[in-house]
Amino acid sequence: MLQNNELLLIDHLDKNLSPEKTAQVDTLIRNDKQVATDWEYLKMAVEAVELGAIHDQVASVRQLYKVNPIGGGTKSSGGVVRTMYKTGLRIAAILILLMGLSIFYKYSTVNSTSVYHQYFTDYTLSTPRGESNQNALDIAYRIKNWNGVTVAFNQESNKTNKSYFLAGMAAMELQKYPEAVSHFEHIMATNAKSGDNYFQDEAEYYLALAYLMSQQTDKGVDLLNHIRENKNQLYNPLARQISSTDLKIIELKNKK
Amino acid sequence: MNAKTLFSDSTLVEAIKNKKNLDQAVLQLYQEHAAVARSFIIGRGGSEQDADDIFQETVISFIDTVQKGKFRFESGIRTFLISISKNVWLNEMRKRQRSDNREKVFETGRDQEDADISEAIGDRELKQQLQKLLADLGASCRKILILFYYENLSMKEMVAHLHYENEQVVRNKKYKCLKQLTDMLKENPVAAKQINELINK
Repeated sequence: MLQNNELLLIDHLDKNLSPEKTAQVDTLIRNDKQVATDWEYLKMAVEAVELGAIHDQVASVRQLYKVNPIGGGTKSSGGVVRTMYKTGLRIAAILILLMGLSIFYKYSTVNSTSVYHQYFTDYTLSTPRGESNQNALDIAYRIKNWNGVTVAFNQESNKTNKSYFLAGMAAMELQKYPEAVSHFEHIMATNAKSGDNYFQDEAEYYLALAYLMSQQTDKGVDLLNHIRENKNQLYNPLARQISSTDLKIIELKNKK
Repeated sequence: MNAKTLFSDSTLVEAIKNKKNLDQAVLQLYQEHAAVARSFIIGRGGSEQDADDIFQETVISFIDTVQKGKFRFESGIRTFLISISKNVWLNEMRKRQRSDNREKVFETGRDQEDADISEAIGDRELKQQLQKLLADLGASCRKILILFYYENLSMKEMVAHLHYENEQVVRNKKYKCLKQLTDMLKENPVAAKQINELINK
């Protein structure tokens, strides 16, 4: 496919062309067999994307269904018995009281630190096939020598996103949260420039936790909410385990 | 998540078409119809895994049919799903065991097909190949293409969603990913055959 035609067809596919240009491209597709073939491949690519997206969504619901095959959807049985009315009111009053107490308890116990400790998990480096694949930074990280990770990181001449990420994780383990923030933010800035995604999802999640521990609660909560909304984010299932009430409480306490 | 909102057949189709409450709609499909499809498949020699896989494929076909506006209510949702599950399983069994005798038995279990059911079953092998290709594409490309072509996010929204620096970076990345996917399609014999047939019609 010629580069110009290729770009033109993609613009046509994305509906970015003017009506006149659209008509021209349609004519080109009708009259040129090669262009028509390329056009069909592009449409098939979009079909693949749609099917893949549906597949992901159905596969996640399938897992959910396996855990809870019956689910909700309960129907009211109707017919309220008059003598049960007063008992019902008493039960409701007790429930409201219990709810009030549990809300008070939750409000007083939830904060940035509690969420951090509950949802911070160690990051495990995948095992290399040969010793030659390992550098000093990897080795120090694997044996959990966090100060060694920092030293190896500072000595590295060609720092990659992976180096920044491991250094960030070591800083988290050493409770140097502002330092961790700086490493993770570096990864996101690099990816934003290059259009790559190398260690992006990992950096996002741990950056959110690092924000919570470095008096940047609003940023941390925003980033966690962003991850919770993004089904394609690697850490979405973990972030979705964090209760939205807990995040609201943290925000509320931060505003005080 | 429970399917707390109980959809009627028509509101369920609307939810799928508009991609609103899609998780809930899919969960309701599972809760109301998976057991019947499973019992058919397991009753005809399939394992539990077969039953789960076939019903998942059925639901994907149903959603795809609805979102393309090809579901015309010629049959109810249950009839549609069960017919697809049966047909897909019977085809699968035929593939696995090609004995003439068994084949005759299979054919007796086959339902009359409405037009939209035949359409959903028609290009099964191609659909499987397309899903596999996308799975092989790599996480970041997959994400970008899904956000643009399935979730219909604008370039501006994608910049915010993916934390890229600007729209041009996303546009370039999307172009590269689409190119990579079409190149993979060109190398896939099932996809190439389909395109050849379309072009030489």
